[in-house]
Amino acid sequence: MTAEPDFHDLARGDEFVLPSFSFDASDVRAYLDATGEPAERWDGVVPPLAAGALALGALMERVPLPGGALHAGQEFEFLRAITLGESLETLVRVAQRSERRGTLLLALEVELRSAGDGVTVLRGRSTVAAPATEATS
Amino acid sequence: MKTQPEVAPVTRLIDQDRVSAYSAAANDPNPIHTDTDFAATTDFGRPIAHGMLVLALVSEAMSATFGERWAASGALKVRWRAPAIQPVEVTATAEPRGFEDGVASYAVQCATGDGDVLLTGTASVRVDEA
Repeated sequence: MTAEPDFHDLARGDEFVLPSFSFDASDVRAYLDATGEPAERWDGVVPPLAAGALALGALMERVPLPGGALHAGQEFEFLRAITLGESLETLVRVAQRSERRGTLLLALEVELRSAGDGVTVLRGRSTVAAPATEATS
Repeated sequence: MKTQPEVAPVTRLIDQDRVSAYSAAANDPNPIHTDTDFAATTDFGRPIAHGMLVLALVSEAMSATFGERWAASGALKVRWRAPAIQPVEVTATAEPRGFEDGVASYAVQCATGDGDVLLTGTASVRVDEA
């Protein structure tokens, strides 16, 4: 999939790749300031949930969520520590789509890979519920 | 490491300032977290905190115990059970559930001071070579 996808039009099996990115110190500092986690324990390493959250943020930039969307469930596997400045690629796949009683449920699998060696450093699966008012299928 | 490490709970006030800061830091523009007028049209009636902000307390608890091992070999599987309507004090806990082949597993939960459960699930981390 290359065109800008719409949340309500996503179908099971759709895949797309987000632009390469890296985390810098200011990204991590802003995340830790917001969550309140002490920064001292993360020296040159990206807190793993920050990586997951910011990857989801990048996904939402590509696929804006409807205003009433809710995060219903989340899985993460942190496979290798991510360092500041490391270039990463993000692959997103729609693993599941269902609709019930006016609610659209999507399961989105996200994989972060090091652009340098192709190693997968994080896997995630997000379950998102949103009003199905704009659903097309 | 022969015994399963204990994980200390993390308690934090989640208020609108924290939620707004998180929206900016995580690049999450969903108005349900920050827009009072929009939130008034939802079932919750008021802005709610990001689920990932609540989950961050679990990750903080795990990283406080396991440091970079958490970043290199941690795993989480959670479901959100109720919204966190700010301001609210939230405590994340991780109760030991098993230690096998070098992997420590925990039942994790986030709850309010009133006992409302916001999130439940599991966390695990490799603490020894298998």
